[in-house]
Amino acid sequence: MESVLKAKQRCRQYPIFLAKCNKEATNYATCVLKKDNVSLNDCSVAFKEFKTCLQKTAALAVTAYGNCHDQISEIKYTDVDYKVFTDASRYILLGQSPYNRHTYRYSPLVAILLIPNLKLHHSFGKNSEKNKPTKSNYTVAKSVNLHSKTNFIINLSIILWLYNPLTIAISTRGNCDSLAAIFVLLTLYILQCKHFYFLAGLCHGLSIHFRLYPIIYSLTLFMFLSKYAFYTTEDCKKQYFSFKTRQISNINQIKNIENTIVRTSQKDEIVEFRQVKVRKTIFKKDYLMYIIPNFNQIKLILGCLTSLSLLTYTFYVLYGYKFLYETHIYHFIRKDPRHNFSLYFYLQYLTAWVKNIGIWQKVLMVLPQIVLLLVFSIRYGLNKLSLNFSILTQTMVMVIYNTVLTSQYFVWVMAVLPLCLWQIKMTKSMMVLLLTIWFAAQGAWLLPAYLLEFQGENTFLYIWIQSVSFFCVNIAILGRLIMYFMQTREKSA
Amino acid sequence: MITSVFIVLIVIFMQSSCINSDTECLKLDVSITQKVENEGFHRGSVAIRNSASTKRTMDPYTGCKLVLRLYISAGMYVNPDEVAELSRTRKLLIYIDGSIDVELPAHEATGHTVYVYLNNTAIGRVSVNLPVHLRYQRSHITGDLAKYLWKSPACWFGALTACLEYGKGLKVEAPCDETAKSICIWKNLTYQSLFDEVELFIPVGDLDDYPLVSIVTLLLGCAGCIYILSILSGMPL
Repeated sequence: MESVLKAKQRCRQYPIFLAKCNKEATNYATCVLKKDNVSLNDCSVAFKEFKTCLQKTAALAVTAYGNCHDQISEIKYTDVDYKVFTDASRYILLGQSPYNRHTYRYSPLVAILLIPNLKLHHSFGKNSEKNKPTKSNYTVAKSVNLHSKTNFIINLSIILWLYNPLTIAISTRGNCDSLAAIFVLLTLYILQCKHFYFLAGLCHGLSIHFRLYPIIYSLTLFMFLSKYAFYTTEDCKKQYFSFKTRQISNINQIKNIENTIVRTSQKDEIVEFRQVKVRKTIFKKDYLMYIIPNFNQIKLILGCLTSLSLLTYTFYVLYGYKFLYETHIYHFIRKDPRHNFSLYFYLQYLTAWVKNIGIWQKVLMVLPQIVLLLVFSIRYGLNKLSLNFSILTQTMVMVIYNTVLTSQYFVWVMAVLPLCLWQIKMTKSMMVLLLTIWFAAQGAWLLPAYLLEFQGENTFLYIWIQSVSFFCVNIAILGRLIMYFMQTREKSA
Repeated sequence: MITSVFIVLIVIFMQSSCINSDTECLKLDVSITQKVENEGFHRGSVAIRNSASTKRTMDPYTGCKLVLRLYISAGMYVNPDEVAELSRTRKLLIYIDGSIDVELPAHEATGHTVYVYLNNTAIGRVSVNLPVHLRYQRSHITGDLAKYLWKSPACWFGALTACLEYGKGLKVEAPCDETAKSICIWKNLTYQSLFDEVELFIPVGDLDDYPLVSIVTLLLGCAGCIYILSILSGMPL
């Protein structure tokens, strides 16, 4: 009870934290009052100082709330993995392998980065994780700014990432996926804004080492640097035309792409999509030509292989096979039959220990995901304006089709979504509708999951039904995003 | 599913006259109560009572030690992290004998033994909250609920020669304390059980669902893929 009282006392400190911004608030208020006609950019310096102070206070407050919650409630706010990270850091401090900590399945970098948890303050990691979004907002802004000149869209994109309750909650619980997300964003930023392809490769290798899932982006990044990748209608036409005339003489086939490009070289405007009557196809033999690498692509590959192999070799020397197994191999062979959002959880559970399950089951579980990832990699990777959208759709496919799906995986999607906001021409009502359905589907899943987890009722079948509906909702949302991506349909269509 | 179950071990009343080597050990009359609050996954309690009228209490330096030994079979486990946290905060002094993989299902896991040391407290009435978790069970035809039988805890006392002189009882070797750096001789204490055998019921997947689940799941996965591809094929590049 003593700890609870202490926690409550700490909670009472919030107003004091907030009161610390009184100086900045006063400065801003004084500045505004001095002006007779206040315009938009007046007192911007004072406002920024005030805003920064509030942000810091809010960050402290959320961390303090987490600590209070942990001490008061039986259901902890802090992620279980945060303790795992801290324990792994402790092993590192003792000169031992972080993999001595059972269930530690991350890069040793996580444990190293969280050593201040033991040396400075146990909430260091949470503050650090929480700051990741703040740091990544720069990359978001720059990446969005590359294509979109509208300040409103840039601000909206940053707000969607910075003030997203989901990412705030998951980050402040001490989850490391925000850090993984920042590496992905950094790769995109370096690739698209800085054009340092070797450096982008290094960053991509680092992100794969840190968390395995960015490996699915490799083909997209490769395609993005292809000489067949295009920016504009003219570029695409020229490239495709010259390519096709070398390959075939049937010019009619290029009608396929006549109305497909959304921007022109001269003007930054979206060209309206018109119906194309000719047959469309996703798979083309011509795509095989695209895998022959050019110099930029080789730089990207070399960068990626350099950082990935260096990190892997270093930690393999330090921690042996256990590092390889826990950090990488485990994620390929992972079988987790415990209930989760995944469509496949119940099927996996039912067949987890049953012999003679046909290979066709595994193939059918994996194949749709692989097909979609390949298609998105090529389809959107080749369009220089849709690299971010390719990353988004692939992440969504990865999450939707994953055999294990928990809330933290949504951070992967949330990290990339702001980059594509300017390209998704969806009405507000549609956005609200999709969000509502998504949350409703999650809520509907949580009820039988709660009954199973905390009441001991056999609700496996109901959880599975809700997983099915959640899958349908996710697929429907992905479909809508594709439909509304960078194009408008004629109303008569 | 990892289901949190808290087992509350309560030593209602414990009075030991086994204070030090100069004192003759008197009669120890202990009763234990253990109850499960919610079916399957929630809290139970164990109570130990000594009916002797002595007012003396246990002391870690001069008196006997008391330990509860709980055998946790494969269907359940004690999370070592939680135990470490309890030990760190000195709420409970626990030693776990056996390796624990918290991710394994019941039929692949092995049992382990938990020692709860009650020696550093003046025991009149002791309540012990021990969080345990149920493991996933292998799916069965007809599914429903699997039964988990929880064996009664053993209560040992001793660790000091004088205490061991008292009465009859099987002498056993076990770690002296939660650090398990040394082994002591303990004597099994017969106690009065004030509880029925604890049965926990765990939800189990129904293999009868397999045809439906496999067909719908796999077809839906493919249908989702085809749906996305169909949208893509209708969209401009």
